[in-house]
Amino acid sequence: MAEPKQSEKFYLERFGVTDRELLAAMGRVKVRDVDYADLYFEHTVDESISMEESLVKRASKSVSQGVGVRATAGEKTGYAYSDEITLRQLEQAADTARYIARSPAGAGFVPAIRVGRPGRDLYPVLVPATEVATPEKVALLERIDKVARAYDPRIKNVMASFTTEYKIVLIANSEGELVGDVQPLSRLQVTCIAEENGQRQAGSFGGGGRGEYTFFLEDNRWERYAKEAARQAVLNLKAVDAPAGPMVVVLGSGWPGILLHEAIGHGLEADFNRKKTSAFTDRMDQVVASELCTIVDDGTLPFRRGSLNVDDEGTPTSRTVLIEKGILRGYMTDKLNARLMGIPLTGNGRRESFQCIPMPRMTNTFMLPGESTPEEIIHSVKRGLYAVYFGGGQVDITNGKFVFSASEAYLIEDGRVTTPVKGATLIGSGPEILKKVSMVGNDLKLDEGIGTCGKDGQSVPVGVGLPTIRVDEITVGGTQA
Amino acid sequence: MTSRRIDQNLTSELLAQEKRKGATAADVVAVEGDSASVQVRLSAVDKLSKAQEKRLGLRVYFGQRSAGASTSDLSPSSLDELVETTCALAQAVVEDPYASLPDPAALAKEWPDLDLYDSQTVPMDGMIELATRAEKAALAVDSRLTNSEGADFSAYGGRTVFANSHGFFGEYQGSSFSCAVAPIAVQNGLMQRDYWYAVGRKLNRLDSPEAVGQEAGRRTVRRLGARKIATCRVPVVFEPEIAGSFLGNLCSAERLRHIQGRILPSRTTGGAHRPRPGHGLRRRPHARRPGLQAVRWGGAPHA
Repeated sequence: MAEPKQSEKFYLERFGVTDRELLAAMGRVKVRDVDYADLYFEHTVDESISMEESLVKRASKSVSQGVGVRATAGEKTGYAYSDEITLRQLEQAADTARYIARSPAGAGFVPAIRVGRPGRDLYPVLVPATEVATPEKVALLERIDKVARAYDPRIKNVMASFTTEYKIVLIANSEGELVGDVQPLSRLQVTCIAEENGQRQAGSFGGGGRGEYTFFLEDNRWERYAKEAARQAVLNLKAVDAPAGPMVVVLGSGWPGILLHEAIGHGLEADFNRKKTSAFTDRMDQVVASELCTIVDDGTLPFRRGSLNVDDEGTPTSRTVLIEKGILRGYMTDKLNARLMGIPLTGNGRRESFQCIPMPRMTNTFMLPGESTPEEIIHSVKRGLYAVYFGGGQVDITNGKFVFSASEAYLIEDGRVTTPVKGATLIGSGPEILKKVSMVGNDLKLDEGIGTCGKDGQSVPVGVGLPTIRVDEITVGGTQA
Repeated sequence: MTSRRIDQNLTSELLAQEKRKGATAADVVAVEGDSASVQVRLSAVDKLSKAQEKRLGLRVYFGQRSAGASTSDLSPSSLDELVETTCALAQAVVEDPYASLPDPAALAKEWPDLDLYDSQTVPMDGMIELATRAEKAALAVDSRLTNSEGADFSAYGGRTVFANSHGFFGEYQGSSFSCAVAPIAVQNGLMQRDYWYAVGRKLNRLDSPEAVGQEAGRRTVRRLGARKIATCRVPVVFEPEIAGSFLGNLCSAERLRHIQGRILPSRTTGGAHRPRPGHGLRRRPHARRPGLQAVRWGGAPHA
C-alpha cells in the first residue's frame, strides 16, 4: 500500500533520521560563507518487465537510496552523496560540500525546521504500480502482443515494456524548509515490426504518467498503444523516401511539441543564460516568435509525466510563461540561478537522483491553442510535409541549431495529406523557427507521457504539447535530393 | 542500519539463500567505489562533487526462468528482501530457452592482471588546478574563444566483485581519471561550442591538461563561419570520434536484426542488474547535447 503523504514524520522515519540530526548536519554544512545548503534524501524502487518474441522473459527490479548534500557559495556548488544514510556519512558529506566556501568549520546558523509542503497533491496514488503483482503486468504485455499481431498479418514481431518507479524524497534546506514527496511514475511502451517483401519497418507508441496502474486499463489505453504502434509500422511499409530541402511543414498536435522543447525550451533554462551560453541570452522582452505563439512550462498538471508537487529543491512547481504572443517573457530557474540572476524562482530545479546536482529543467512545455482548425492549416499548404510523430531530437544551446527525426510523416499536396514518407529529419535554428509559425490550431494536445530529457548526463521525465501548427519554412533532410 | 561488507562471505551467503528459495542457479555482482569531480568555469570553481557508492545486483534462475534485481541498500534486511524479490520476479516470467549461466567449463580459473587500477589520488585542489589549466589552454588558442561551459576533472576508484553458483568468485580493482573542456567561440555575435577530453585508468598516462585544452580550442574555433550547403550526394569523411560511434549503432542494429531475424539474441544483462556507474564513470561530461527522447523499447532504464 502507498504510504500516506500527509506528515513529514513519515518521511523522517522512512529515512531513519531525526529533526535533531538534520539540524546538526545542516549546521555543519551551512557555515559562514555558504549562501545556501540542502539535503536531499531519496528512496526509489524501479521495476521493469519486457516482452519480445511473444515471451515476457525479462524482469528486473532495483532499489536506490541515499542522500545528497549541497552547499552553494556565490556561483560555486559543493556536492557530496552517499548510498548510506548514517549520521557519519551525513557529516562527511557536509564537510565535503562546505569545502566549496573555504570557510572554517563550526556550527552555522540554521533556522528551526518548518514544513514547506504545498497544500496540493497532483498525483495521489493509493496503490503504486510497483505494488501490483508482477503476473498481472506480464498478462497485460501478452495481451498487447496478441492485439498488435491481430492488427495486421504483416506484424512479425512485437516488443513491449512496462517500467515503473516509486520515488520517495525528503528535502531539507538551510532556510528551514522541510518538504517530503512521493512521486510515482509509469510508462508502457510498444514497438512493432512489420515485414513485407523483405522490407522491415518499425512503429513505436506508448504513454504513461504519475497515476496508478489502472491508468493503462482505462479507456483501453494499452490496446490503443498496441494498435498505434502496429499502424505506424504497417504504414511505413508503403512510405516513400522523404523529400529534402526547405519547405512548409505542418506539425501535428501532441508529441511534435518536442520542437518547442528543443528549439526554445533548453535555450530558456536559466543556467545557460546566466553563463551567456544560450542563443537566447539577453533577449528578454524581445520578439523571438510570431505573435501567434504563447508558450508555457507548467509543472502543475495533475498526473502528468513532467509534473511535480515540488521540484527537487523543495520549491512548489508553477506555470511559467516563457513566450507571450511572440515575446520572450521568462526563464526557468532553480534556486542558484534565480538568486544569481535576481529573477523569480519558478520551481524548475530538478535532478535525476540523489547522486546529481539540481539544475534548471523543463516540466511540461507546450504552446497554447490558436484559432485555426487543423483542416484549415492542412488546406493552406500547396506542397509541404505533415509531421505527426517523432523519434527524438537534440539541440546545440549556443547557436540554437536543432535536429529531430520524424517517425510518421506525410506529403501535403494541393492542400491534402497524401503519401506517407520515411526518414524525414527536421533541421533548424531555435531563435528563428518560431518566427515562421503562420498558423496555430485550436487542438492543443499534450503528449501521451513518454519523454525523457537528457542534460549534462542527467535524465528526467518531461512532457511536451502542441496544437497543430504551420511553419512556413523548415529544412527537411531527406533522401530525395 | 549497518551495511554489509562486500566480500566472498556475502556472495556465498546470498547464493546459498537463493538456492534455499529453490533457485537452480544464480549470480551476484557488487561494486563499491569513491569518486570525485570538479568543474571550473572561466578559471573560477563552479562545482565540486564527492561520492561514495555501493551497489549489489542479483540474478536468479529457476530453470529457464530468470530475473535480476539490485540495490544500493546493503543492510541485512534489505538484502533479504532483495533475494525474496528476485526469486518472485523470476517465477513470474516465462521460460526463455536461451537463459542460463555460462557453462561451468567456460568459466575462467585464472586471469591476467590487466593493471586497471591506479591507487593515486588527487586532492580537490589538485583537480581544480588541472581543470583550470585545461580551460586556460583552450581559451588561449584563439582570441575568439571568449566564453566556456567549463572544464571538468574527475577521478574514480573502486572494486567489482562477481560470483556465481557454479563456484566462480572473482574481483578486481579499477580506476578512471578524466579531463574535459568545452570552450565557446564567438564571431559576429554567433556562438559555436565544441569539446575535447581525455580519459584513462592511470593518472600519469592521461594527456596533459594543456593538450586537452588546445584540442578543445582548435575544434571549437574551426566551427566558426559555418555555412549551409545545398542538399547533395557526396562522399563523407568521418573523424575517428564519429566513426567510432557508428560501432555502437552497428552493434544495436545487429542486436535488433537478431531479434527480428529470430536468431538467438546475444545475452545481455538487464539494466537494473548492472550497478549504475557514478559520476566518476561518466566519461564524457560534455559529449551530449541536451535533448529529448521518446524512450523506446530497450531504451534507458528510467520509467
